[in-house]
Parts: sequence; C-alpha cells; structure tokens
Amino acid sequence: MPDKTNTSNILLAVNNLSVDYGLARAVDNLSLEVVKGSIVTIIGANGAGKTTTLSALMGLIPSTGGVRFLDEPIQGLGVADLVSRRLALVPETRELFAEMSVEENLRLGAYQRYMNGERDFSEELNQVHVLFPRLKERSQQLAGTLSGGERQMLAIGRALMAKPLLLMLDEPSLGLAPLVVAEIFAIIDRLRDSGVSILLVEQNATAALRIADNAYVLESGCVAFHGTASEVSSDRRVIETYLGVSDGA
Amino acid sequence: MDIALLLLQDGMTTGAAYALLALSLVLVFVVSRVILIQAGEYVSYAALSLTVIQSGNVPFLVWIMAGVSAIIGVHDIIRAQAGVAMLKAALFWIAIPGAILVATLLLVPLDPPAFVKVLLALAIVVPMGPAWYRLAYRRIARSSTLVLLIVSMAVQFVMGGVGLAVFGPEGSRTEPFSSGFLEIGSFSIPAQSLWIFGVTAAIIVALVLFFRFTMRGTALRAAAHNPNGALLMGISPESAGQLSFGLAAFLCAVTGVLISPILTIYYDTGFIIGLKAFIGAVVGGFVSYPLAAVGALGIGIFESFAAFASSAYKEVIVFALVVPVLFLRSTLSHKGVDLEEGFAGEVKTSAGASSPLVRRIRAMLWSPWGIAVIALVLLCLPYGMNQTQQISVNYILLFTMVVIGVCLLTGIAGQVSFGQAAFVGVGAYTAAIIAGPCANWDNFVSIIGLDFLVGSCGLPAWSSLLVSLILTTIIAVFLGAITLRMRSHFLPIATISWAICIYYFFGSSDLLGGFSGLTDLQPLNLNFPSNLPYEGQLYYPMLVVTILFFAVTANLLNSRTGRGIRALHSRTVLAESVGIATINLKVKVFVIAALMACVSGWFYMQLQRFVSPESFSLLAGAKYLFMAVVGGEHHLAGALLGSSLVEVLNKSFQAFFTWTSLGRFGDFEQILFGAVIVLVFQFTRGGIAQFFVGLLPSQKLARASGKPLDHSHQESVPKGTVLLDICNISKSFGGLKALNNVSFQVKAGEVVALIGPNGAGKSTLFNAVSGISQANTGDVLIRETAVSSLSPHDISALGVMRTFQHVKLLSDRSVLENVAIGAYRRGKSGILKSLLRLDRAEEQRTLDMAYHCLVRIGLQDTADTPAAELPLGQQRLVEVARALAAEPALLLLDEPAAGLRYQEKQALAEVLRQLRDEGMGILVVEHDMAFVMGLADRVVVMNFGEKIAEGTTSEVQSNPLVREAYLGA
Repeated sequence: MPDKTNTSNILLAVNNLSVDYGLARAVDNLSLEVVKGSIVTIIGANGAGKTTTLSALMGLIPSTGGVRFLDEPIQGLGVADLVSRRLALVPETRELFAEMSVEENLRLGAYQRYMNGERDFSEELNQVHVLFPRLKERSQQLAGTLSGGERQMLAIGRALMAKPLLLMLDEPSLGLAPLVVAEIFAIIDRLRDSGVSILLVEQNATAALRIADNAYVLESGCVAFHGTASEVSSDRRVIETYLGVSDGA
Repeated sequence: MDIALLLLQDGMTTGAAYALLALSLVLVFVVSRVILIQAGEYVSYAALSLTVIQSGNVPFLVWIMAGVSAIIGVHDIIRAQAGVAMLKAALFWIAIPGAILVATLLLVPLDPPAFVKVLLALAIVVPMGPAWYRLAYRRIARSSTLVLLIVSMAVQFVMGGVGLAVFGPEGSRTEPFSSGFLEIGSFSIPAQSLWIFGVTAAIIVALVLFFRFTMRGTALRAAAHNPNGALLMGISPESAGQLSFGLAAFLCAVTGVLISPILTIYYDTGFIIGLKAFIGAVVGGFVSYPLAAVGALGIGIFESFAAFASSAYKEVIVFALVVPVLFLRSTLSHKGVDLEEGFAGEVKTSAGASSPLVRRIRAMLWSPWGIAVIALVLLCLPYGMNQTQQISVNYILLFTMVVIGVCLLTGIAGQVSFGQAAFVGVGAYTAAIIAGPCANWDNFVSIIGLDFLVGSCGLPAWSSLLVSLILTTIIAVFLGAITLRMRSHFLPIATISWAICIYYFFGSSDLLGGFSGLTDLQPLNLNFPSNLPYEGQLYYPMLVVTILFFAVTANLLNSRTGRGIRALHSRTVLAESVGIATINLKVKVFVIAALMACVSGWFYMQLQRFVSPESFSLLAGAKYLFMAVVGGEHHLAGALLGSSLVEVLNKSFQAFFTWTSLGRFGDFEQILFGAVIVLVFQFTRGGIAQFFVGLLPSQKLARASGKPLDHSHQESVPKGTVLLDICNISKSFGGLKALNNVSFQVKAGEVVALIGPNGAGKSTLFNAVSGISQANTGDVLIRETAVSSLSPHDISALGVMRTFQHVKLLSDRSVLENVAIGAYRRGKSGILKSLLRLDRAEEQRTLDMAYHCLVRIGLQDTADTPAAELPLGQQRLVEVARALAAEPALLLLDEPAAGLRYQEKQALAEVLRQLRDEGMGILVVEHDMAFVMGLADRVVVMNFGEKIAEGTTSEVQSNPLVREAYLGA
C-alpha cells in the first residue's frame, strides 16, 4: 500500500468516484491512488467500468466523488484544463487523426501548450522520436496508413507532446501481436523511469501486472481487490478469473 | 459561339462567388454538423451594408452587431471564473466589436477610399458568425442534427426579418471595384469578374495555407475529422465551432461584397444565393471542399445557360438533379460523417412517475363522464367562437393532421423529412384543379393534351380527395424508395432538395397558376342544417378525420408492425436481425405520413379557397417539423400540442404587432417566431408533450394472457445437422486482416464457444454470419444456403437469431414488447390489419409467446418495466429472450454473460443447455472462461483473425498456443 502520510508523494487521489449511465451505475464508489513515478494498473473483465473510470478522470463524462491531482481538486474541470495541468489519456480507440500526417498528429498533441503561449516543441518532438524511431521515419505518412503497433506508438507519442505528469493508457495492447505488445510495454516501463506516472487499464492482465507497481481489480464498477502488483498476481481469485484459461494446468 | 463564351464567363463569375459560400457550408457542417441555412443572410447583410456605407450613412446593423456582442460579453464576464477568461471575453465580445462600431461611426462620414468601405462592411458582418454560434448552437452542440437544422432555419427567420427591418425592401447594387474591361482578342472580360476570380482564388489559397500550416487551422481540421481525438488534445468543440462560424461568416460576407456590383441584392436575395451554394455543398456531400467548389461553379454555369434558354423549370431541374447526386454520394461514401445510429435523436424515456393530483385529474378526464364532457366541448366548440377563432381552430386541426404523420415518420421511425409540406401541396392543388372553377380544369386538360376533356369539369369535391390520395401514394412511393435508402445526413438533405423541387414545380407551372397560385376556388358544399358560418361547418369533418388519424396511428403503433416501426429508429441493425425488411417498412410509413399531409392539404384548399406555392415551401415543411419537435415528436399527443402552440403564438404575435403597430416597419412576426424557436431549444429537450404525459390516457401495457402455449408449429431440426458452415472466410479492412481463412461448423444440438482476445476478429466473424458485412473470400453457409448475397433480414428467415455486444433494445418500451419484437417474422398481420385493430388474436399469441420466453430466462417479473431501467446484465438477458421468441434453429450470442452475477450466469448456462438439448445450435462469443468451459461442447479459439485451435474444452485448455494468446507471452 502507498504511504498515506506523505501526501505530497501522491500524484492522483481518487476518492469515491461514481459514474451513472442513465439508471445504471457504471462505476460505484471507486477509490484509488497513483504515487508519483509509478505504474498503476486497473484490470477487470469487459464492462467492469475500467474505460468509464478513465473517461471520468479525463473530464469526458460527468461523475461524482472527489478527484485530486497534485493535491488540487480537479473534478468538474474541462479536458482542456486537465491537459494544461499535464494529464493525458490515450483511449482504447486511439482516436488518431487518420487523414493527417504523423507529424501533424504529434504537433496537435502540443495544442494546449500552444494555446498557453509556448511555441517551441522541438525538444519533446525529439524525445518522442527517440522513444519511437519509427514515427520519425514515417513523419510525412498519413496516420491512417500506419500499422496497428505504429498507431499505438503515435497515440502515445501524441499524448507525450503535452508533457504529461500522468499518462492514462486504455488497453494499449488491444489488437496487437505479442511481439508488438512486448515492445509497447517495454516503452511504458521506460516512460516511468523518465518520470511519467502511468495509469494503465488492461485486459492482458499478465503483461500489465509484470510492469505495474500497484494494481486494482475492478468488478461491476467496484474495486474488488487491490494491492501491489505481486500481491494481486499471486491472488488465487485473480488468477482464476483474469489470468489463466485454466487454473490447474 | 461568342454567346456561349459570354454565358460561360458570366456563369463562372457567379459560380466562383457561389463556391466561396459552398466552402463555408461544408466548413461549418464538418465542424459542427450544422447546415448553415443562414449563410445567404450574411451575403445580403454585407452587400446591403456596403450600399449604405457607400451612400455615406452608418448602417444600423453595426449597432445591432455591437449590442448583441456586448450582451454576450457581459454575460461571459459575469460567468467567468478565472481572470484570463474574463479578459478574453472582454476583448472578444466587447473591445473588438466596440472598435468596429467606433471605426464605422468615425470613418463613414469622411468618405474613405473604396477598399476601407469594403473592409468596414466585412467587419460589421463577420462578428455575427461567432455570435450566432454562441447564442443558438453552443448549448445544443450535442443535439441531433434534426434539432440543429430546425434551429438553423429559425436563425434564418430571424436574420431575414432583421434584414428587412434594417435595410428595407428595396434592392440595390454597389459600385463595382473597377469598371474597366480586360480585352483578350475579340473578347472582353469585365474587371469586376476578374476581381471575383482573383479574390476567390486568393481566399482559397489562404484557406489552404491556414488549414495546413497554422496550429489553429490544423486544430480546426482535426476537430472536423475526429472531434473525440481533438477533445483529448484540449481542442474544445466550442472553440472549433466558434472559429468555423466566424470563418464562414467571413466567406459569405466576401461573397456579398463581390457579387453586389453585378447582381441587385434585396434583403432576401441571400437566401436564394444560399440555396445555390447549398447544391454545391450537396455535390460535395457536405464533406468535400473541392467537390463543393466545383459543384457551385457548375451551378453558376448551368444557371447562366438556363437563364439564356429562359427555361421556366430551371430550378425544378437543378433541385431534382440533386437527389440522384445525393443518392450516389450516400451509397459511395463510407467516410465522412456517419451518424446513422441516433441521427434523429435518441428516444428519451419519459418519467413514469406522476403526482397523485395529476393522476386524479387523469382519472377524471378519461372516465366515461370525462370523455363525454370532452366530446361535448369538441362538438359545441364552433358555437362559442367568432369566425377568426373558428379559423384558428381549423388551422390547428390542419396542422395536427400533418404533424401526426411527422411524429410517426420522424419522431417514432426516426426518418427526418423536411418535405411534408410538398404533400400538403399535392392535396391542395389536386383539389383546386378538380373541384375548382371550370377554367382551371379546362386549362389543365388542354395543356396536358387531353382536349376532349375540356368542358367536362364539375366533378364532385369528394372525388378529388380520392385522386389526390392516389397521386400522393405514387409520388411518395417513388420518392421514398429513393431517399429513404440514404444514410445519415443525406436523408434530410435529400428531403430538403425534393421539397424545394416540388415547390418550384408548383410555382413554375402554368397548369397551376404559377407563383400567384389559383384563386376563386369552389368551397365544399356542406349544407349543414345550422346557422354556423362555412368555417364552423368545415370544422366537423376535419375533427372527425383528425380523431381518426390519431386512432389509427395509435393502433398501428400498438402492433407487430408498430414494434417494427419503433425499431427503425436508430435500431435498423436490430430490425433487420429479427427479419424486418427495413426499407419496405420505411417506405410504408413514409406513404402513411404523406397521405395524412395530403388530406390536410385537401382540407386546406376547402378552407382557404386559394392555393399558392408559398404555403407548401421548404419553410412550411420546416414549420411542421418544428411543431412536431416542440410538441414532442416521440408522442402522438405532441402533434396536437405543437400545432396548437404554433397557431396560438402566430395569432398572439399578429395581435401584438397590430396593437403596437410595430408591424409596419418589418417582419417582426417572423423575427419573434424564429427567436422563440431558438430559445425553446436552448432550454428544453423532448418537447412540451413531456409535461402533459401524465394527463394522457394511461397507455394499456401490452400484457400476456397467461394461457398455455401451443408449440405445434415449432420446426425441429434433427440433432447433428450442420446449421452453420464457415468455409475459409477472410476479411480485411484496409490492409488489416481481420479474418484469415477461418473455418468451422456449428451443428444442431451443440454449443460452440468462440473465444479469443479483444481484436481477434470475433465480431467481424459474427457480422459476416449475420449479414451485416460480407467476407472478402470464402463462404458462409446456413442450412446449406450461401448467405454472402443475402440481406440480414433474409438470413434471419433461415432461422438465425443473434444478440448484440452493445445491447440494442427499445429503451423506453417494456421488456415484454422488446421480447415480442423477436417474434416479428412469425406474425402475419400487416399494416392494414393493425390500423383497423383486426390483429388482436395474433397479437395476444405473440405476447404470450414473449412472456413464455421471459419466464424461461427468469425475467418474468420485469415484463412491464421499460427496458432501459434494467441493469446492463439483465438487458443482455432480454436480448437472449428476444432471440428465443423467434424460435431460431441457430442462436448467435455475443457476450451474453458480461455483467451478470454468478447465479445469473449459472441460470443462463442452464437455459442454454436446455435449448441445446431441444436441438438448437448455439454459437457463443464470451470472455468469461468459467462460463464458457462449463457450457461449451466445442471451443474455437481465435487470435489475430486466425483460428489457432479448435476442440473440446480440455483439449483447448491444454493447448500451448491458446495459453500463449491469453497470457500474452
């Protein structure tokens, strides 16, 4: 468990977050914490409320409860404000600008910083190119023509252009070949070492638990279980439900 | 030859101006989904402001612009939370418009150089773009395109009215930028044309540079392509909307100052120019800039030649040509804005709870005594009224007849039509020709070459009703069969196009008296034995017809066909999957709505004894839609409420303006009417009917009778028969192989589970089997029939039913009704039986059957609950029950256990086992391994579009490939 006495160490603190879709409650009194410089993963079945949680944190859908980022309340703020405060989300659907070039996609990642008066983004662009050399090679190509793995890289790269302190990733492994998944997860690991904290939602629980520091297991909108990644990955219920095709084999 | 060149040059000049306008229409649409009907108003505003400035006066418009902006500014400053926002608001809404006002006041008396005058005119008009976005569209940015369109119409009303009030009815031309000619050989081009070409080209280049190389331009493009992605970058839809409206106003204003030296501009010229640009935008499908510009250029050239050939029907031809163009664009376009699902707005669940007082009033109203009182009031109504009031009531009835159809077609079936007024026109004109003075008839038959019929007039009035109904049916089937196939925004645009086309046909045709219409028509010979005036007498047949319309529509909705009609509304995939031939049903509903409009038109002629095209214009069509939406288009009662509200508003505005004598200065009625529409949509969703729902007769819930079921007709397939045979199917989406050579079978009496990680191709496979999409290669055979060329409803006829990963239920209907939709294919009652309520026995059998399915799935206690009120897991079970209601041979289940609790999963598995034992074949996609392993006879494992394993549960579990796929090694 993270050290609760040292609040300055906590980047994101979510307290009793709830989201309702019409009459159905998608997220129910969820609480979680992200310590600075850590990877926290949320795992759970389809429909458990993982994506909804991220959308609520990013201000895309209304929610109730308390969310603090860098010890300031951020609930109810718009997406633009949250991006300015260095929060970024890479959604499950990637949401790239398919008909625009890789470079334009990356440049748009810095839109909010441009609106705040910054003009020079070459340093971040360099960093993204170092992290994803393939994006540099393809900088003039249309985003829609990239392969699945490259698209995910571009989505992460675009989010990094906003210089986020917390990067939220929704199913980065979705639809990618195992080799590419391994590559992406290695990069996520490196991102943590460069100081970006990460909130990772994954169905591929094994891969996520391997790089995460802490993990939350979500069931029907509630946290069913949480702890360090090793605690969670050795929990029998978790193994049965999410990790293995079979338990005994 | 010379003449042709001259016409070409003329046409290209106006075409170039139209092109700018067309670009602005596309720009606004891709960013905000608004069809900018007021575009033309900016054109007239800019042109007329320039005229005023050139004559040395300050246009009053600049005061309006600055005043409205200041109001927005003050509002924003008060609302602003941060200092930065306050400053921005002050600068944008107060300082800049203020500066424009001051500059105009100071500079105009000094008679500045011509280009300064032009800049002033532009500066006065451009801020109105963002201002209108703020006032009318920002709050409703997420509303359906239907609402956005109606609001756009309303803004056009307001701007047109203000234009008349500010600039007066006189037209004017501005001084040309330069009066010379450019001589090329024997050919001379006026310098103004060169200006138009030059400025248009320069602006297009500037736009390209802006969109390509600036952060704001790129962001605007991004917001248009992918609003969700843009939002994540912090590009708010509001700022994008505001910028696009500003740019659009600029483009339109430039068009205005460019075109005003060569074309006399009246306050209402802009609207007509806007329509031409609209056609250009249509050619571009409202998504392509280059095609829109080329289309607009083409319209300019066509117009120029048509004007020379002086064809009376040029508008008819132009707008008729738009429909096939739209059709092509709609079928070819996969990109662009696909808003098919939920295009006409979601059906909202009405709050069921009502207070005891409301319930008591309702009980009183609909008790036998209450009904008797209502009937008495309706019967005596004309006696208590003067002639004006009688006419008003008659108008309410006329409107209601049309709007019942609009509610059915648009509100309930989800098919937006702006063209209902055209059918009113068909009814009115037919009545006018057949029952009018003999001169009309003689004129008509001699023009169409049936000279022997001259002098044969005097057919009874009622016969014209029959003729007009037949005529309307023919036209509606024809138009419906073409336009109702169109997806997303193409459908409403197509209805707008043919509505304009029919309007111009009425106006251009000598047969029908042209734009001045037909007068001195014969009234209906009622001969009531009473002293009521004609209007009071006409009330009775109209009342009977209106009540009849309500009754048959209610019957229709409460039937097998009615469930199908409700499913058309943003649930076409579901409708097809239960065996509804959606296009046929859409056309039928369209014809019913058209016939109601036609009857209204027939009565309109009897009431007015005068017909002219104006009453059947596009704006009239928009008004009917407005009545439906403001009344509440999802309730039939909304038709009466909306019609009454509009008529009462109309009358009170008229009275107010007569009383204040403000009416003399302009069309204030129109301004106020538009403003009310804009305001209504800012603050209410779902129409006023929602406030009256509690008072309506409580709808009798469809209930099961509880009688035992007769299972004799259930077909049985011997166990082991191959039901589904998938042979080597492949499917790719732009290079990505979603399915690669997949083969497997499902036999009667077994459960096959399809598992694999997200993105493995399971949904693609499901869609290929159920006919939603087709495989590129390979065959899918269902009971030995190849399904690749079959539509989903044909596939369902082979005995296949499916459930959906994203639940598709009629959210405001009861669970029982939702399940009954599944039995659609097993019923036989058609529209006619439903209308006349002759389908009751079959209806009861269907409901009993549906209830039985609910019992099987353990949801009988929720039968009366609106589907949306169930938890998601149970909604999935309702889908399973709905599939069972069809008694399928093959059942396809897409993640049926997601969101269920442990016991619920056990129960579901038990039901599926029973069904299997009865001989059903079941293919289930599921992520819950415990559920799958406990249920399936065989498991097919997919990864990256390929089948990596198939076998019994234990075989699959020990397969290393499978473990790797799932563990993501």
